[in-house]
Amino acid sequence: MRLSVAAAISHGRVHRRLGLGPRSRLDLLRNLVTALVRHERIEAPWARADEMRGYAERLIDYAKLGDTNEQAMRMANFWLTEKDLIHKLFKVLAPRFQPHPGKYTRLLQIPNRDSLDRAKMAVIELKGNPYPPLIRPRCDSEKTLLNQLLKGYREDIQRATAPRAPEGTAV
Amino acid sequence: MAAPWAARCLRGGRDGRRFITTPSASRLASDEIIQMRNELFTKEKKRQLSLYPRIEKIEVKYVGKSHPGSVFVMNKALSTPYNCAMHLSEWHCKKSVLALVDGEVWDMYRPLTKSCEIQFLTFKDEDPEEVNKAYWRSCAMIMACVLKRAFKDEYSVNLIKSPEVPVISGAFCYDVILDSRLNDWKPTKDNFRSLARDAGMLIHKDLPFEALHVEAKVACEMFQHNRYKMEMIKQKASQNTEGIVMLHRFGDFVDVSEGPHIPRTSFCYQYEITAAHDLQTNKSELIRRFQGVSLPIHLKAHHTVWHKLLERSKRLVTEERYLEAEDGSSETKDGTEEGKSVSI
Amino acid sequence: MAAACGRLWERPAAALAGLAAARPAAPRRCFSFSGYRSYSDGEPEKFKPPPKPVIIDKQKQSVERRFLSPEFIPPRGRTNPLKFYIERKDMIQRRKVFNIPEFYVGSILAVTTADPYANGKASRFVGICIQRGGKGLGATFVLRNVIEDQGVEICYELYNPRIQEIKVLKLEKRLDDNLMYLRDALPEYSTFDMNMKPESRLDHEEIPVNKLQVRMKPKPWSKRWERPKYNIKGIKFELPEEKMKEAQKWNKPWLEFDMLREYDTSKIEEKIWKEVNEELKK
Repeated sequence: MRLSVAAAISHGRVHRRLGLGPRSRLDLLRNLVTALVRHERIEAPWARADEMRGYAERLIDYAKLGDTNEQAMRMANFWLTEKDLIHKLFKVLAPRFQPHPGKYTRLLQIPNRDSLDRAKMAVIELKGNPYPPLIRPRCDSEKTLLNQLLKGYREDIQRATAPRAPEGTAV
Repeated sequence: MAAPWAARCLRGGRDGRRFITTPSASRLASDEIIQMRNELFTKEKKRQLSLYPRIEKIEVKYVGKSHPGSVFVMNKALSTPYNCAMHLSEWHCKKSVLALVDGEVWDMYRPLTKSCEIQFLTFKDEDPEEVNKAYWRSCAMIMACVLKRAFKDEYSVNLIKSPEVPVISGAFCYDVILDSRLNDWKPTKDNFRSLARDAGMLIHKDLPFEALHVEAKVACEMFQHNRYKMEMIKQKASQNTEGIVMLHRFGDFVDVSEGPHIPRTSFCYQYEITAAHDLQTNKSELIRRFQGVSLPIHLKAHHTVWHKLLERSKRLVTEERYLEAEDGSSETKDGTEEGKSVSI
Repeated sequence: MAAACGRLWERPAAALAGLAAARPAAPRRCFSFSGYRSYSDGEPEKFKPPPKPVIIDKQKQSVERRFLSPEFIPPRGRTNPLKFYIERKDMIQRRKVFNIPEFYVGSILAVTTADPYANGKASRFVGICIQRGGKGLGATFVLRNVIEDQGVEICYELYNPRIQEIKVLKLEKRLDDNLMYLRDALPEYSTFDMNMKPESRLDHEEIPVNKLQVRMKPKPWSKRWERPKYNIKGIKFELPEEKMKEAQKWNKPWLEFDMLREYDTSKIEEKIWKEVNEELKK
């Protein structure tokens, strides 16, 4: 419980206080990370999902080091409470994200929880999951007026540059 | 040398619409012609409306994604597709450009004459080809109106027609024969700006485009002073069996049109008249092709993009060149539909 | 007396400093000698091969001896990186005119500072570096010594213009990164001779780690060093078993799994090292 205003000043502490203390906080996030690795898309309170996101991404970073890395194995052992998921982490997720430099998860806000406390809720998912996409990108088709004008413009430029290129190569 | 003198005879805005009696008695002042056509249009419209003395009901079925199974009971020859859109939502009123009535492209302000299935077309449809064409046509018509009014009465302005160029060519155009005294006049940047300002005023007035299908005889009466239009009307009338010609009016300007138009002038957002080219024809008169570019309020462009489009629209656009170019490109690419769109 | 000693040692120290200054150039000169000798031996035919190994050797050395002073690495936080960039420029300016040697916590240093009240306007202090603090231009280090049974600690600012000379007498590391517990250790562990002579060591050698475990004075100490928070390895605890066990109550085993606490400086270090090295070479 917050006793004074001074206690509310962060002093560079950027994490949220969840659960009953630092230990409890990590345990709570640990269960979320395990669930995320198992189901690849979960619903959680927004604050928890946001907090968990960093840990999930770091865990995948570690997994990308390979299962021979001792530190990576220790981390996986701690963060995945269900041990059958360690295999999935190293053999499925790590190869999937090997070509990507970061940002392995996607966090989207959904309507507030209306059963319990109206908490801000979110869906967090690993990218490249097998489920249907949550958001579909909407863009105007190629044939709208503006896109047609721009297409003509592009073609003009191509036409202007195309005859010049062979000359350059010939010389 | 002639430019400053010609610039003076270009009138900026509506305030300059003073009556100056024309020296030649055979030719009427452009204002009087416009007035005459406008009256004839109104008369004809009234006559057509009086064909239906009793209000009859028709059933219009809406086939769209948003409101499945909607059926409107509308008034025959009185209700327009716009009235149907009003029943749906404000979104439909604002975004619909054309209506598709039983597969036929229909103006938003043209009354429905029978029970039908209706659908609305917007700029952001999957295939907004018809809408784009209608928009280009309307922009050209606005430009024609501006050109007709822009000169003093002593200089005749003969509107020929608006060639149907595809949107991809980058500009809409209208062919005009100006007075022979203006033959060596080259419009300057300021002239174009004042023309575009006039167009902007028309757009700001938010005038509706009214459609009217008339017999060729009535149309000929309306356009008796313009032989190019007469030729066009005859050609149009010969194309369909009943000899019907489609006329459009916005404000008090009436023109023969190739197809449906957008509902209101306020659909234009960025509008610019950019260039005038002399067409080399074998006739003695100098035909000028005025060109411009415009974007609707639903598809705004960033000013950098807009200026690039403006630059591009200054080139002369012709139907033939694009026909060839598009055919070539459609063969190389998969765009078979674009090839079709041009050949229409 | 100490001051007198300092003055007495002034000259030899200067001589040594001269030697030390000459030392970095020594290997190069040595190699050139060998090259010269071989050249003189086989005068008729030009002997090219020798310069090649010299270059490779030098590069190897420079790769091995990559050292970036810890105050260059900005702390983790939300401070504007521009601040650190500007400070780095100033630090490099200072390093161009003043040789700040490589040293670690646990090394024994001799620092000469300008002092208007001292004899000869300079005072020299010898001690073990027990802490390096601060980042950027305000970086400090603390030297500790016991003089006449009295513990003395002096906190020097690394980039203070009043510092005239920093000399490493013994370059080594200890088991910990902070030797503040020497305050509570027996005084013999922090007693150093003011007239200590610098130890010579080769440039490309590894930094030796002194695995000395100190014995402490009886409690109470300034801090409870046995607690896992400090993670001290350099103390030989002579506490009863249950005390040590009780201290483990404050252990937080989950902290090592808190991945967001990790601050990986390797990439920043690489970048800053490149920047600093380029600037220093100019």
